[in-house]
Amino acid sequence: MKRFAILFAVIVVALFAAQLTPIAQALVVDPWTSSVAHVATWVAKAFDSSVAVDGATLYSPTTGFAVTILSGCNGLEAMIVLLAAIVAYPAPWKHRAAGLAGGALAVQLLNIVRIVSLFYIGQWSLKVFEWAHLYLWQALIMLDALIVWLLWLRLLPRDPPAPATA
Amino acid sequence: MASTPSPRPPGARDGLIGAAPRDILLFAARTLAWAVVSFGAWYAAAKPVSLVTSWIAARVIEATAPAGSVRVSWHNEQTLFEIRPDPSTIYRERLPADLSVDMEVNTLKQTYGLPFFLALLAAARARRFIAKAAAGAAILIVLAAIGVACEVAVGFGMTQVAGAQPFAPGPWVGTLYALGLQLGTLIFPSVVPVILCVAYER
Repeated sequence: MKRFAILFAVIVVALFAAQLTPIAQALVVDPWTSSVAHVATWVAKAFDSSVAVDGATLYSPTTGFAVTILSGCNGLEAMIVLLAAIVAYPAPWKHRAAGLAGGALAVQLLNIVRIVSLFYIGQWSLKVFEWAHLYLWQALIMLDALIVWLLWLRLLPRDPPAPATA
Repeated sequence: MASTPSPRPPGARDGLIGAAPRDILLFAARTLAWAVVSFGAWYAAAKPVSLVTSWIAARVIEATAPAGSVRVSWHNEQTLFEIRPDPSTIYRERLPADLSVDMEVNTLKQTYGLPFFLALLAAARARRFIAKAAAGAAILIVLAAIGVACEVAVGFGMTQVAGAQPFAPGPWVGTLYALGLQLGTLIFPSVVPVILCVAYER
């Protein structure tokens, strides 16, 4: 547990610091955020064909409402925490890779739901938007990462039984 | 007579770690149900929670920023920080002796980890719930206070008096405040409750 805690903390701090650097922002965070905005727009178009995207901003030409996806809203933080938890836990690399792929997908799917829901909640009520954006969805995304990690732990191969002693 | 092993699946244990998928999904469902209660209670108790957090934040600001004294009060559903600069800064920068910098801060941005943690703990059906909840809440409030202090310190540092910024921190301290502001709103309230919940499982 101590090894896991130390490794988890080191990986989280290193990756958070790394993603704040200008080069990581330019090469990873900004393109990722823009991709998230485009996928969210594609999903939102299923409900409203007039929804458009400009960079990392979704907007409705009909109502004039727009949301810009910033750092903290692109799901990268939850993915970093999940990555750290999976890598820090002793497991075969094949299972780690599968956990990372499945976990990233789960976090990003829920993040798309978050963005699309916030886009419509904001057009309905700015007060509810603030509540959902600042407090509720932040917690739900991290709950998602926790559930994925717990399920991944359960799917790990069991330790081989200890050899019988005479 | 030989004893028979219990019909538990291999690797299954009490608690969340190693729990069956069905139990993990039930835990998620219970967390959502408890979150309705805990977030509602937290929002109803916004004033005392914010004032306690802000009182600690005020002490952090007094210790780390050029602030002589910091008072907190509840105003417009937010915490009002009244910061009186320290006498040496007032003297050095030739500022008015009665200068006070007022800032309103929504400290709920930093304290929502509290209801999230309580929902997780209740959903995990933790033993010794009261003791664990109290310890976790204390940790979360201190971390939230650090986040609030950094937010106020960033605003205080940017305060302009006669076209100058007499309270601007140095580059390293300014970076630390900005990092604390980020951690205080994005990481502490969302990640630390999960870490505490998992740590209590062991």
